[in-house]
Amino acid sequence: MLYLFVLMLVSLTLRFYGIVTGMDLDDFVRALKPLATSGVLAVGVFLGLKGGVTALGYEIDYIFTSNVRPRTYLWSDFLFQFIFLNVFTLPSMLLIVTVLTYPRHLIHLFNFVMIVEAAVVSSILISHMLGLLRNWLGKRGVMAVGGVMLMLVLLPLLDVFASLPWVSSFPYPTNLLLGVTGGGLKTSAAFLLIGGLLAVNLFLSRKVEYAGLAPILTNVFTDPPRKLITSFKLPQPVARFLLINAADRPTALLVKAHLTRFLRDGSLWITAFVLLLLVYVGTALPRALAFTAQPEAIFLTIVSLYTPMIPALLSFNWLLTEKHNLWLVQLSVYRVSSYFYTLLIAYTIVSLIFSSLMVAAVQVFGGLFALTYLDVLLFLCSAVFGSFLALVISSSIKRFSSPFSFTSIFIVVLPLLGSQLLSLPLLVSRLFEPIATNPPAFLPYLVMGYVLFALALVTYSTRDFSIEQAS
Amino acid sequence: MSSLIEAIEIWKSFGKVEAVRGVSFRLEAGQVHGLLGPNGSGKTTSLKCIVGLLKPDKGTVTIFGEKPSANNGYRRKLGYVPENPSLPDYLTVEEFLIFSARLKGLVGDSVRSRVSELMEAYALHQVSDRLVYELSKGVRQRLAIAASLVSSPTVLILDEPFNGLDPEAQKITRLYINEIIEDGGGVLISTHLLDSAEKICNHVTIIVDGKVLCSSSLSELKSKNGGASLEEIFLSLIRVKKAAN
Ligand SMILES: Nc1ncnc2c1ncn2[C@@H]1O[C@H](COP(=O)(O)OP(=O)(O)O)[C@@H](O)[C@H]1O
Ligand SMILES: [Mg+2]
Repeated sequence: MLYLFVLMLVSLTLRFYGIVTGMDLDDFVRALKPLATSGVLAVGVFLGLKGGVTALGYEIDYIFTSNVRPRTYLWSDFLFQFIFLNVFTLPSMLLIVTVLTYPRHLIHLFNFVMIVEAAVVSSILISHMLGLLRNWLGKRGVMAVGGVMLMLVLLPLLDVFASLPWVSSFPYPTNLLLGVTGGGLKTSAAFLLIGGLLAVNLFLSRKVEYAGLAPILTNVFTDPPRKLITSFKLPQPVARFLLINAADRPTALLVKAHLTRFLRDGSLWITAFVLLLLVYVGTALPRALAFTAQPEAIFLTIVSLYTPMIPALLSFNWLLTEKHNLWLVQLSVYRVSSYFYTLLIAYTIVSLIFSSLMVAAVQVFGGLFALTYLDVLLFLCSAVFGSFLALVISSSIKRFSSPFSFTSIFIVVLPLLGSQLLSLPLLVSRLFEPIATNPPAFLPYLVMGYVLFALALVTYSTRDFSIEQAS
Repeated sequence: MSSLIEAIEIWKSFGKVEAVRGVSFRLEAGQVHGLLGPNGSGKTTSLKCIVGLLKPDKGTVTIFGEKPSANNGYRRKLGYVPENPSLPDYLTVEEFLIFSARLKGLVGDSVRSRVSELMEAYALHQVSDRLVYELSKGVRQRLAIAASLVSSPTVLILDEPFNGLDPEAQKITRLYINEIIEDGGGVLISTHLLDSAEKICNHVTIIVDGKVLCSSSLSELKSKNGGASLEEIFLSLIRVKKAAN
C-alpha cells in the first residue's frame, strides 16, 4: 500500500507539473523513472526495517506453529508481495506513461515495465534481507544497515531535483536498475545486483527460525513508537492543554482524546513520514524542472491537494485500533454524532498543522512569499473536506482487516479526489489565467460564499452522523 | 414498581446463525441475576441487545421502563463491561477512568473523587500512569470493571467478568455489587462458570441454544432439586433438553 501511495502521489505531482509547465514529455518520463525506482526501493527498505515479512499477527501464530518450513514461507511471501505490488503499481504507471508518451508509448512502456519489475523484485529482496538480518545483527544493527541503504537508494534523486549529473554516474542501486534495458554491460549490472540480493537472501535464510521473523503488516500502521511515549513527557502546561482533563468541556474532552490517540498510537508518525516524502518531492521538483510561472502558487496548490492524505491515513488507524472502542461512546450520555464531529475537528486540526508546517518549510528553504486569502481558504477547505470524506468513508466500511487491502484504495483516493472536486472553485480562481492575476471584484464574495456554504453543509451532516450499531 | 430491565421475546440472527431465539426475562431490583449457559448459547448477544449495542430483529427491551434508544439518559445509570472489553489503548489508566466518568455524565469534583476511590479499591493506583496498552489481561479486566462502576450505576451488566479476574478483584467487585443491591439496583452477570455464579447470584436464567431453559431464584431452584449444586442442576437440565431433541 505504501508503494502505491508514494508512486501515485509522485506521478500525480509530476503530471500536475507537466500540465502546468508544458514540460517536455521525454524529460518527464526521464524524471519519472528514477523517482519510481527509488521510491519502490525506499519503501522496500522501510518495510524491511519494520520486519520484512508481510504477515498479520494471527497468520504468524498459525503458520509459525505449523510445519511449513520458514524458507517455503519466505518464498510464498515473496510471491505474494510480487503479485500484490504489481497489481497495485503497474496499471496506474502504465496508464500514466501511455497517456504521457503517446504515440511513442510502446517503447517507453517496455522500458518502464522492465524497470518497475526490476525495482519491485529488488525491493522485496531488500525488505526480506533486512528482516532476516535481524537474526544476525539485532534490531539496532538492522536500523543502521537500513539507514545506509536508504541513503544509497535516495541519493540518485539529487540529480532529478538538483540537477547534479555526476550523481547519476555512480553505481547506486537505482542507477543500476535503470540500466536493465540498456543492453550489454548495463543489463548485466542490473541482473548482477538482483542476483546478488538473491544470493544474500538465500545465504541468510539457510538457518532461519520463525522466532526471528517479525510481521510488518500490522506493525507499519499500528505499532506505536512505545519508547517515545513512555519516556516522552510533555511539559506540564502543554500536557494540561493537550491531554484529557476532568474539567474539560465535552467537545474539548473528545477532541483531546482523538489527538492523544494520534500522538500515542503511531498514526501521526507514519503520516508525517509519508508527507515528508511528499514535501521533499514537492519542493525539489520546481527547481529541478526550472519553471518560472507562479512556482509558489503551484506548490501551495499541491500541498493543499495532498492535505486530505492526512485524515485518510489517520482513518486507517481509526479502523484498526479505535473503531471497536465505540461501545464506550454508544453507551455514554454523549451522542455518537458528537464523537464523529469531534473526530472531524481533530482531523482538521492535524491537517491544518501539517499544511502550515509544509508552508513554513517552503518559506524557510524556498524563500519567502505572501499567502493570499485564496491560499488560506484552500488549506482550510482541503483540510475540512478531506477530513469529512475520510470520516464518511471509514465509518461506512464494515470490515477492514488490513491497510494492504483493496478497501484502502477507497480510503485514500476518495478523500483526495473528492476534496479536489469540492475545492475546484478555489483552485480555478487561484491558478487559472486571467482570473488569478486579474480577479473580478466580486470574486472574494463568491469564493467566501461558497466556502461558508460548503463548511456549513459538512458541519451539519456530521452533526447528524450515526453509525451502524456495533456487533 | 416496574422491573429494571425487561426483555420480551428478543430474537437476533447473524446471517444464517440464529444467536438468540425468543429470550425473555426480567431484572428486578435486588437481584444479582446470573445469565448462564454454555459457550455460544447467546448470552453475549442477548446482553448487547439489552444495552442497545445491537438492535434485536424482533422483541422489545426496556431499561428503567424505557426503550434503550429512546433517550440516552438511562445510560448514566447503566454500567456495562463487555466480554473481552476493548479499551482505548492510548490512554493511561487514570485518563481512561476520567474519560469514562465524563462519558457517563459526571462533572466537577465528583469525577476525581470517584476515580481515585476506584483506583484505590481495584489496586490500580500503582499503574495509574501506565498506558492501557501495557496492562496484562487481568489488570485490564479490573480496569474495565472499575470504569463500569464509575457513575455508581443502578444497573450493572457484566459479560463474563471472571475471565482473568483475580480473587482479590472478585471480592472487591462483590462488595460493589452489594452496594448496588442495597441502593435498590440490580446486577446482571453472564457467565459459563457455574461455581462463581453460585457464589454471587441470587437468581439465575439458563440459556441454551438461544432459548431460555429456566429462570428462577437460586434458592428455589436448589430446593426443587434437593439441594444439589448449581453445576449438577445445570448438567441434568441440559441432559434432559438433549434427550428431548
Ligand atoms: N457478530 C457475529 N456474527 C456472526 N455470528 C455471531 C456474532 N456474534 C455471535 N455470533 C454467533 O451467535 C451465537 C451466540 O454467540 P454469543 O452470544 O457470543 O454466545 P455466548 O456469549 O453465550 O457464548 C454463536 O453461535 C456465535 O457464533
Ligand atoms: Mg459470551
